Amino acid sequence: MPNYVGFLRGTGEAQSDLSPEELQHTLERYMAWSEKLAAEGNPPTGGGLSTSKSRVLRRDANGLSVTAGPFVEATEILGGYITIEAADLDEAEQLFSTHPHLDFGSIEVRKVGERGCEA
Amino acid sequence: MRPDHARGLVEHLFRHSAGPITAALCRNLGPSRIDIAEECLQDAMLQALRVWPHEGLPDNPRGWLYRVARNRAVDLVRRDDVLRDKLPLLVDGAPADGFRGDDELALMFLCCHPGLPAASRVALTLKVVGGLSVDEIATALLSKPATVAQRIVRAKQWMRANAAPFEVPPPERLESRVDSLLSVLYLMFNAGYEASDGDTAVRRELCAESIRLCRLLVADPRTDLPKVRALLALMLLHASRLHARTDDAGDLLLLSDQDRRSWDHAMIAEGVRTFADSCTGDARSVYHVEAAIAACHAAASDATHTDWSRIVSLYDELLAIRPSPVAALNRAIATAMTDRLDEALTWLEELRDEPALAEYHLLPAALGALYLRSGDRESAAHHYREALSRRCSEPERRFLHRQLDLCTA
Repeated sequence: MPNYVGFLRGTGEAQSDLSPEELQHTLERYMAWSEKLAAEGNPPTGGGLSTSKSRVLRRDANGLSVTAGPFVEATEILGGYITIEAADLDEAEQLFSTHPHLDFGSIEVRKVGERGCEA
Repeated sequence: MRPDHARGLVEHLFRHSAGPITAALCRNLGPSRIDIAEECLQDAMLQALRVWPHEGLPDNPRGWLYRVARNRAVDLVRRDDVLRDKLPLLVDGAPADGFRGDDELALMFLCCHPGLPAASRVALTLKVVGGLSVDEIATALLSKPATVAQRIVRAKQWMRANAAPFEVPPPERLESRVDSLLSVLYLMFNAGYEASDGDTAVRRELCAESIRLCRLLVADPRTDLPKVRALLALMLLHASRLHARTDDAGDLLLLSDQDRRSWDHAMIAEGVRTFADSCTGDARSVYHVEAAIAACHAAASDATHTDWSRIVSLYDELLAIRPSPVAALNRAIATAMTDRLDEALTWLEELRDEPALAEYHLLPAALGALYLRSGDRESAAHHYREALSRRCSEPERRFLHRQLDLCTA
């Protein structure tokens, strides 16, 4: 089955006011989501992306320029990603639609292209 | 109900890690930069959200959170000209996984510094040491989030301006600083214990947190003083009744109507033991007397077997050490229980002139109860109506309405 990656955006801003207790409850919900899928034979993989240790590289007529941080709106900061298996985009959407991250930000679901890839 | 999968995750792990981690960072960053310590802690917890669901729980979750928070602090400090000299401290000075036991104590002393207004001390302690959010603190203290937030901001400004040291105070100053700390814990506990509406879970947490912090004081030989143990005993004896104070519908139960089997008897035993341990020196603090009163209630098999005359004399002692209208009110109620109803009514009527009780709903509520007992239903109804006109919680309001119905039935 093809893989689908979900990009979790905008965690920091919406979650920065949560208390430690609320954050732990949120973590428990995230873990429940992952473990439910794992129990169904579709263990998600993924990871967190550092928001502080990041640089953006560009090359233009003046040569290489390196800037610190992804300078985008805080609500769009990419905080992490999750990869799951799904038969098609509709099933991937349906699986991600129950992820508790949606209480705080968006999830962009993209099919991971296979071999010859696809547009 | 917690999901099964989270079993590996210790309940309240994040909240209970907040104090130790903030304290460990504060020791190295300096007390004026509590805000940075808090920010790094928050970042570490957010990072756990992104990583733990996929990689599983780390072997030492609290140590993991601390390392991520410290790394974040190192990043921030490296970029800050003023703070850069703290870098060696952060990198070498802090323990990798463990925490210095007295870091949290030092943080508590800092948050309860007598230079801060009393209301700010409570809010700051709950936020920084207790790991509660501004909203949770506002709920717990029956205050507005904006007010709480402002108090915390001002308290942090005060700390920057006054460079209060991060330490367990030296012996010559310890006594008075402990007093300030104990009064914060006492206020914190009472806020959790007395309030009965709103989010009861948050309130119970407030009681549990006060007890946890008081235990920290008892655990350190420098702050293990008789009055500290007395306060811990007092909290344990009261907290043992927390669950019995409301019925299944959330309605308040009078002490006499509570099912004493649902009191936490292990906690009572610990409270009694702790109280015995607190009676070593000559000094009797208000906490000793209040703990003695709580012990009288805990020892009785029911309300009629309570030693009310001893409770009256303990209130006399309390009033001699620290006069307060609320203690006077409680003394009058205890007096009524010794069958001196008229005497009690006279005192309560006198207390009506007390400005501090002008808005206090429990004074007319007590008058209503005593008049009802004396058979004067008309006066009782009058006082219950007055109590209902004052600010009180929803369960209390329902209780007062039930009593009023008894008067007019």
